[in-house]
Amino acid sequence: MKFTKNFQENLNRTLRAAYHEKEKGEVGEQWQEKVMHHVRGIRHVLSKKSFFEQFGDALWRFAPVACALILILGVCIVKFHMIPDYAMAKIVANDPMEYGLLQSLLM
Amino acid sequence: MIRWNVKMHNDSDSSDDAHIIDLVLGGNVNAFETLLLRYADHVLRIVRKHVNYEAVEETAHEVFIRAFQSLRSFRADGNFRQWLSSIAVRTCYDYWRKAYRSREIAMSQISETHHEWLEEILSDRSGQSFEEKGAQEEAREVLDWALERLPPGDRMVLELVYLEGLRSKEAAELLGWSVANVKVRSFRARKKLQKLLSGLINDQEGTL
Repeated sequence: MKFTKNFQENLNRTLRAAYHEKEKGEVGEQWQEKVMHHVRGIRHVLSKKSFFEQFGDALWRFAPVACALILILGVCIVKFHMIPDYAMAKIVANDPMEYGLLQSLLM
Repeated sequence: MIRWNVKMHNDSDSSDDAHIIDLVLGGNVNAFETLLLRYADHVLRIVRKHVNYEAVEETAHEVFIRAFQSLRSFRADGNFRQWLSSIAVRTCYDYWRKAYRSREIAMSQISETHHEWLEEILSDRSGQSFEEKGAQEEAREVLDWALERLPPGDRMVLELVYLEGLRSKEAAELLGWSVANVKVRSFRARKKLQKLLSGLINDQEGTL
């Protein structure tokens, strides 16, 4: 038996027909219910956020704490006459007596 | 022949799909059932052609779960049917890769009845059409015998391009490969299939 071109063509066409024949069939009655049951069980995956979204959420959670810290520091600066770095540098630059940090805080 | 191209898809269905997806993403998970009912037959047709009969339900189940899990990545202006087809084809490909890796494939054997069937094809005496011959069990078994002996990638590309009749570009989109890769692999896979089938004929000659 020779593998002729005509035979090859016949075989190809028959195998194509066999391939399309495979699409016929039925699935069990419970199949769709099983899929939906599974879907309902994993509904949380839709609310799953990306890394950046999660990072953003976590960052906003610290916003009230950050505001409170800023307020506390502000009160401390006013109450204890704390001198910012810029003012401190100015004092040191203009004063020939060379004030130290401790001295300026004690004044 | 079933083609999964955009032309066949109805625009109203497309906008309806987008609306249902919005509902699902908005928290109404039960709305997903509408998509399941609408596309179950389409997905099952794809899956039946690519995997073994006993794995059809499980694989189609997996397709819908993957679609649900990646629903956020679906673009609202996209074609849901096409998107789902792509997931179905890639899930079938993964099924074969996993099966080959774990060596769970039971290699079928060719018997005397298959040789007789081949003899009929060769002589072309039966008077049956190709569709009738293809509908015979022997045809499916010879096809499965040949496909089982190909690597998963070759198998998928051969089924899509050679047996399904899709263009290289369409197959590339479904598999997520480049067009050049599909062309090269489909050419090689066809050669391998031809070699397998010619080997089968030569074996038959040897036994006669």
